[in-house]
Amino acid sequence: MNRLRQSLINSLFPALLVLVCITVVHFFAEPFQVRVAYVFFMNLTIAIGLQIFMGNTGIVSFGHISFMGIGSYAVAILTIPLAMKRILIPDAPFGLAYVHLSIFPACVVAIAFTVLIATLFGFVLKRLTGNAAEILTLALLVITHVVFIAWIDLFRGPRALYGIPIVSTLYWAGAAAIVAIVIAKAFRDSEGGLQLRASSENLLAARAMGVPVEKLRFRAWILSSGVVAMGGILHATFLGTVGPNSYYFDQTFLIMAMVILGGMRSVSGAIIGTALVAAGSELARTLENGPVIFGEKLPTMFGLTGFFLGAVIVLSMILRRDGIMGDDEFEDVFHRWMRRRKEENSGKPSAVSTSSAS
Amino acid sequence: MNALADLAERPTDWAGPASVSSKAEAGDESEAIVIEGLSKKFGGVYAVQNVSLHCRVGEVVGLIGPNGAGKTTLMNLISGVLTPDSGTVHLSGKQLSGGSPESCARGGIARTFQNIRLFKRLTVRQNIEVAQVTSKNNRDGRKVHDIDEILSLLDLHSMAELKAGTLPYGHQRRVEIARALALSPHVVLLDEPAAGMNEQESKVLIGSVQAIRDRFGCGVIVIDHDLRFIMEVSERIYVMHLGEVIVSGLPHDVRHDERVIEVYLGRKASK
Repeated sequence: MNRLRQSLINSLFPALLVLVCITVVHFFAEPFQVRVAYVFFMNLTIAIGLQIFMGNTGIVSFGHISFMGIGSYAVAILTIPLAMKRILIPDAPFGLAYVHLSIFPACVVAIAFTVLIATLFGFVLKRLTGNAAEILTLALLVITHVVFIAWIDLFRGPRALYGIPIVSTLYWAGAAAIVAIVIAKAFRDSEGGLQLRASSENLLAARAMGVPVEKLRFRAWILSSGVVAMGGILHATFLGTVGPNSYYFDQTFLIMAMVILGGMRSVSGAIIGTALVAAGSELARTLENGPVIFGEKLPTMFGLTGFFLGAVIVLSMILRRDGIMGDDEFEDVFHRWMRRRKEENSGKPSAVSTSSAS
Repeated sequence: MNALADLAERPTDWAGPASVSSKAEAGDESEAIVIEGLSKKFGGVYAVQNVSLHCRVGEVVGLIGPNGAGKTTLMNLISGVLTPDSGTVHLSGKQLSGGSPESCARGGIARTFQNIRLFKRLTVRQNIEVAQVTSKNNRDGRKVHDIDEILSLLDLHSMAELKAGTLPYGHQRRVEIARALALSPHVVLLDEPAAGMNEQESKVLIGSVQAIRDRFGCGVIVIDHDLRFIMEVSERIYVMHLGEVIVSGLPHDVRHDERVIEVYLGRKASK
């Protein structure tokens, strides 16, 4: 209980950051900036979902964007008005052409369905480590993409499904990001989260300490799939349309760049990484279109955004493999700063320097 | 001239363990661990062959032998890292079921590793917590040891909030022992705990091992190449050679045993 309370307290600062951001955007932003902020919160939710798994297990996952896709398509199929569905997917199996739910029950069902799919994969994944596990997540991404494209009766193939009620607002996205932060912090700070992080460092030692690695890995996988599905729902209910290419490699590398740049072992790192990559991507997108700067028309540079993401991952790997935050959370940085100030005031050497000297 | 006899001298007031039995009953609860007929073959060659040993509650047992004797393989078999081809392990009177490291840890076998395997990015306290969580979740009536008590016992309190990977080597060895203790084990297996330590650190470690035995009442099995350390810390010693236990007994008897001298120094040296 103490851990949970502490974790909730630790979530206050990042949650406050989100609230401040929403307030600033609400009062001062232009409509296109509101859109940028919305996408930022959506990506933040997905990045944190990915961090729950990657950060605690140490397994790089290429497959989480599948959960975004499954969440998006599920909510789309359940909420598109029946009249439109009869035109778009008249032959949808399981009578889905005749099923319609209002947005909230549809969100619940979409998350539950995503978690169900994740559970099926989870039974295999939890037994694997290292490269085998990572290849499996890649396979998951490819399989779901192929299913979206090939199952035309249900997903309309490569063509988009549209007509989804556009109900999601900036506040929805902000709330989802806060929920994701609280879940991620609570899991990371939990006893199971601690044990799982230990297992990601040294599997044999963790097992020799009685850590139920498979069970905890499974738990992280399920939890992260649910959070990423929330991001998928935000995507579908903001754009009003879903297509298979939105849930493939481009989105995967965008979110991975965010998590890797910030530091995949830290929830705070995911927040910082998302903010930096979002800002960088916006800048790259502007430059990509050949803007006019100081009266000079720059040439169009197609693919600059993709180049930027690739550069972020490569530079992170070369310069700072642990990302900006490493293992630290905001509160760790704050406590360390406080301790250093206290030591400076009292004139006593730090425990670190004492131990290093011995 | 007995070369081994010079390696270590027992304190004069040491009178040996209260009760040293050569035979152990598998169901005896005063036995922390009883191993019977444990064997393991790799590609037709026995790494461990028909090894039986026991360690009483509150006893420190040494396990020595030249390189390749099978000591670490035996540790890996006891702790579930390897699955034995035959043999049984009884912990505190109950046969250990299931052979995984997790089930062995939950059953009450804690261990350290020949090459330190700490969770280096976690703090010292968190390293210990990882094991304590297992102990708390066990619900088998064993007392959950307090982390601060363990930290104090191993003189790690001042570095509890430091990342384990930032500590000097000797401290890291102590953190590994502290982590093992947090499992509230029936028996602790220490695999070369004094490796890389200087004489002063080894002396401190001897005190720590004996304090562990006295304070936590568990059996301790120690492997080490430092014979001086083993002779001083152990109440009984098993000597392994080519996968088999060739001699067991009190340190005094072991260090004068011709077979032990032979395997360590060669036949000619013993003559």
